[in-house]
Amino acid sequence: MRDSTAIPINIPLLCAATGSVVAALALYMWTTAAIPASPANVIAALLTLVILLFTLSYSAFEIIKQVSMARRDQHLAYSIGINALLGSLLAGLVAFILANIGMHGLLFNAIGMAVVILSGASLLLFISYGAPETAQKTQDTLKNTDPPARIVLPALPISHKQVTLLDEEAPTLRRGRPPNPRFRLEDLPPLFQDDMLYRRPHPKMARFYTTTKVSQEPDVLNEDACLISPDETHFALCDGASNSSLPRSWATLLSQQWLKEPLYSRSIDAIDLEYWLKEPRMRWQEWVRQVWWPTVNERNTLTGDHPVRREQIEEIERRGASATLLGLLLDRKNRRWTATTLGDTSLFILNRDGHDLKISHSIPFSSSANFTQTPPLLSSRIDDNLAYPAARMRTHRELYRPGDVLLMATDALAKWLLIQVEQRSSGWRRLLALDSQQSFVHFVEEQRESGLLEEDDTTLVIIQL
Amino acid sequence: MTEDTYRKSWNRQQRGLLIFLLDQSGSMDQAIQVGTRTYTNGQMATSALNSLIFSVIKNTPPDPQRGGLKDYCDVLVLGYGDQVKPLLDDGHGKPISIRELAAHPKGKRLVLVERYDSRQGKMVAVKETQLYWIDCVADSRLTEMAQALDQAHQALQGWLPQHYQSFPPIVINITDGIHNGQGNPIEASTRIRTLYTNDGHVLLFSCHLTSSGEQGLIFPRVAQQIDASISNQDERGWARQLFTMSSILPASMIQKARTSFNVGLEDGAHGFIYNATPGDLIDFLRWGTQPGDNLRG
Repeated sequence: MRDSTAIPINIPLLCAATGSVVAALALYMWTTAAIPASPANVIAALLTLVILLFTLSYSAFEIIKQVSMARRDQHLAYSIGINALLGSLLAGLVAFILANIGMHGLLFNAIGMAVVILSGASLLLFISYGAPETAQKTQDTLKNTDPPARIVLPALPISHKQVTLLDEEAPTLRRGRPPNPRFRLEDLPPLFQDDMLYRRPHPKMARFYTTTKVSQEPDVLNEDACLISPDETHFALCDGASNSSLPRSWATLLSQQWLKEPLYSRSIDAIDLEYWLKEPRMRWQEWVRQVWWPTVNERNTLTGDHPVRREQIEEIERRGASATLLGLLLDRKNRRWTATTLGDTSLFILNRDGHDLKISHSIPFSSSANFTQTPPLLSSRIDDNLAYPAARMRTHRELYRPGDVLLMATDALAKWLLIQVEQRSSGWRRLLALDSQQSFVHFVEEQRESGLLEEDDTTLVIIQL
Repeated sequence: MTEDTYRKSWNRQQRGLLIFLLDQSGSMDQAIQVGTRTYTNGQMATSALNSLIFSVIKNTPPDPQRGGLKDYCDVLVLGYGDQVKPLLDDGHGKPISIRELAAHPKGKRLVLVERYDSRQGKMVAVKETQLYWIDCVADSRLTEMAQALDQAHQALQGWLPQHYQSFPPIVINITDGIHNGQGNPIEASTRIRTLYTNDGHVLLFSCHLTSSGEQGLIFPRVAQQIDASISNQDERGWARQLFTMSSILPASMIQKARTSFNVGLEDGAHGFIYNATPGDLIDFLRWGTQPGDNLRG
């Protein structure tokens, strides 16, 4: 933007005004001087009149345009003001001159005088009063309060905590340009809380609890995803791999695919799996480029963090996202459930034995020693060799009796449960007594502290059959 | 050493710390023959370190909330010769997060890398651009190893108070073993190894590079193994010193060492390798930074 010490001139407006002045002067000279009224002279006079009218209307148009610009952008107000007043001054002179060529003499004279005086005076005032910043300074010395206006950002969901602007390099307002605001990441709400791929189920009959690796962290950092169909017949629990790219969204997409089209069969081959993964893979890539990338970059301009470059997006896609899968399908009419597993997310089958519930068995693992650091996973990468995971996918189908219970759990809790069974401990019954997210978190924290539960995202779904 | 130490994995709340001490004295300028090429120990070590940093970065997943890398590990590199100097820019001698490191490499350079070409069925040299963070320098008379260890000790003391929940820091000393500066490196190393987090004591591993032509030795359990393996008197002395300085491998890392190095390892083995080839060195470094692989969970 311009420096306020130089008066900004609007060239078109100046030309228009000058043009009209010249035309008016010409007319004046023509009428006062003794020029014979020949046809050529008449035409010349008419032409000059046309030019005059044209330039006057253009000036009026420019002034209106600039006034509306000034209303929209206050920074331009000062410079536009100067231009407008200059224009008015010249227009006033024109009117004055026209008056003297005998066209409605007195009226024009009066108008002309008025406009000239008014605009001349305003112009002088504007220049002496100076740019808005100078005005601000005088205001400050009078009031001696806060430094110049901070930028108020539009419609940002600011948390209730005090927002701190940290840009120490710009204590004064730089002319015309807002300084780069820097917010602390901790003061801004986490990203993707309202994203469809971060949604949580809210079942009416089943119970769903989840907590992140480190307690009190926001749910967006949790890499377990779970979806439950509204009629609570389709359940999917997917554990995103921490060392893959952006696993949460992928885990939700896999869950979504299960709800849409459960994949189960005595033996699943690579072709079936590839077909099943087609849509989630496509949607994940779309989400990364069209949602994740712009959202993170927008946030990074606020926090002063580096923007994500194309190379990183390509690296993210190359590395891909991976997750386990536990898909469950309930056939309540025939009292039968079907489950497909890949990885270490587990299903525990509890049978009713009189008044008691007992853990009957679990899939896919029967021993806590089966849990490794590298379970088989489903990946978003197109070039991933699907023969390996396909060979490890297992489908189970069993009949159940009313009163039975199914538990879905991701690896940390699943391992804990198996150890309970192996040690013939009954501590696991506490899980069934849980009635709220809070009591679940409390239980998890307790178990983590005593070293019995590994520190990982922990998710549990309790289904009463 | 109890069973439940050295179990944590690196993550944002419980960041890891890697400290590399790189010998940059003139003696590292000794040439060694690797296949058809001649390198100096210094070049090999610097190149291995750069490659390691590059691969740690490549293995770090992105941060879903901020872009860039997940901030799960800090790195400090100290070069020592006549003096001790931090070798990573912007560090001012303090550990830098892997996230920042990835965003600010020193530059790119053309590197000749040996890759296995499956079509030709052999290793071929290909030119690749690689990011690098450390320049190769080998020009001093002295080797102030004790001072380097002390500076590492200082850095650790500054870092530990905020990170007691983390996997213990790992200090890796890459040298040709010839210490001729002030102080006593063995005492300095003991001071480092007494520092700890809740998950165990700080680990100090040593990699002894040499062009001696002696047989390589990986993770010996007792000093006698060194005596048996190395005939040269001087070499033996330096090797023994480094061996004494090195931490005993924790149980959780022994399993990984067995798979990475294909050796029968006994409990009580020291984190020390002698006469490392470039491949060994890289494997050693990668194994040494292994908590990063436990990112799952």
